[in-house]
Amino acid sequence: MRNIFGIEILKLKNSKALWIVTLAPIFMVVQGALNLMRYYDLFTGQGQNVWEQLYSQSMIFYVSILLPILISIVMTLIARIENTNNNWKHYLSLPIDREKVYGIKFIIGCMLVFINILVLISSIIIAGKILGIEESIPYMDLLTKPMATYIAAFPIMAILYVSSIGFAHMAIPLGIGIGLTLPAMIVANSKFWIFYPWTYPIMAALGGDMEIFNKGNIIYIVSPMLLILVFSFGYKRFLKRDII
Amino acid sequence: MMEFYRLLRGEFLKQKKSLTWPISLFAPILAGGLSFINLLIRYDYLMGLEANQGLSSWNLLLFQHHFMWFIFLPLVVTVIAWMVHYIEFKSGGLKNTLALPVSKKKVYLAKWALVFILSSIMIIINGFVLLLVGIALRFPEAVDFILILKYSLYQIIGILSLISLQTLISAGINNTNIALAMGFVGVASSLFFAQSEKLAKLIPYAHIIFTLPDPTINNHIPIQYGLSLGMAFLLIGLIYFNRKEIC
Repeated sequence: MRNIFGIEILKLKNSKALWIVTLAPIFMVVQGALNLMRYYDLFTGQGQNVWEQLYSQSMIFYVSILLPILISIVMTLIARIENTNNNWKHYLSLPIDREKVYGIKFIIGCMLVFINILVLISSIIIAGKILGIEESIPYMDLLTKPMATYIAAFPIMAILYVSSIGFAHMAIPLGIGIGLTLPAMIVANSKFWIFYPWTYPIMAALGGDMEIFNKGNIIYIVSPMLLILVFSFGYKRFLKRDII
Repeated sequence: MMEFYRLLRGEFLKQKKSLTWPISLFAPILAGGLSFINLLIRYDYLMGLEANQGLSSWNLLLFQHHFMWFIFLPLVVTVIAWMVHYIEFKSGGLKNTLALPVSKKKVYLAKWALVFILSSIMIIINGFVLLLVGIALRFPEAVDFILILKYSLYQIIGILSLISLQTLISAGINNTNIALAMGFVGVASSLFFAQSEKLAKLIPYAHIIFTLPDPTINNHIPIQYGLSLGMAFLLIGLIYFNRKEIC
């Protein structure tokens, strides 16, 4: 098991996946902080909490566009080597447990997304310090909301992982990821949001700040359920997968 | 010229069984379909909003559609630029092509032209889809051809800078995933860039935002800066690619 884990990490070494998941949120927070500085009076003029404003400015495009697209890239990279030149047949003909391969690849994908969230939280705190925000850091909000966003993104991770493993062409999971990200903001404003997992991270991240996205805790029940459902579906398909 | 034409034909052949064509055709249909649903449900509400007073139905359609399209178009163009280069890196094909007695500049130009043609096709289809959406929704006003034509034309010019930049990045970085990620981050933050016109002029990812034909939007940005930065990045790409090592 440790061998498979090590090999999977090694495969990602040259993919620059770690760079991608680290730098992308930093860039978004820098954008958010600059925007807050530019419109400081507008965002804080009515006595709003500056940390909350920094959080909202950093999160709004991150959670609605960048996060789902980054998940698409990460999950695509996870299966990149096997999908290139149909290397699955070589990999699966080796005496290794398919179950472990499937599980470990997904865990690594989830870990990369988790690193992305951790970098986001750290970047917001550092940006706030650099901006010299005097109010005390609302650690609870800054930690819990991104973590809730992570949990809410479980179904997206599972759907894109299953697509990456299932389709040899990298463009398909990417296309699914981008194509389904686009309507998320519109669906999030409608009563059908629960049927559309791409809206869950938006609800989790912005729910407390924007009334329209305040949908209670149902996401945290539905999200792990969908994860189990989609992951099991992909798992069964993977076990039955033909080597040739 | 004949050599360029053959290279371009080769590029089209390489993409024959790839997903670039379906993506280019499907993307505007998807975006148009969403705009159709949006207006089908919310037309009366949107027309009644104070902010939309005085807008024609066609203007409203473009406003609503542009909110998605300014993100979707650059994302898809980024993917197309990536796919055109990924196919080479995947099979080591670029090494083979460049080892042949063909002009490196023309190879690069053919790839750039392919991305431009596919992007233009996508923008034109988008224009047609918008027409169909307006007709299907039975707008009370006559079809505003000029408005849609302007919108499409501004986009074709405005997207030049992004095509040239993404082609340069995709050709320049051996790991095409980085090029893809850079494009996605750029597009995701384009609205931030667009809040400062000075900055937006220099950021290709933001040019498309300014393509909506409206008196409140500076359409000179995509026309002037989309075109000039497009040419500048294309030139840089040609020089860079010409000096690129084959091994």
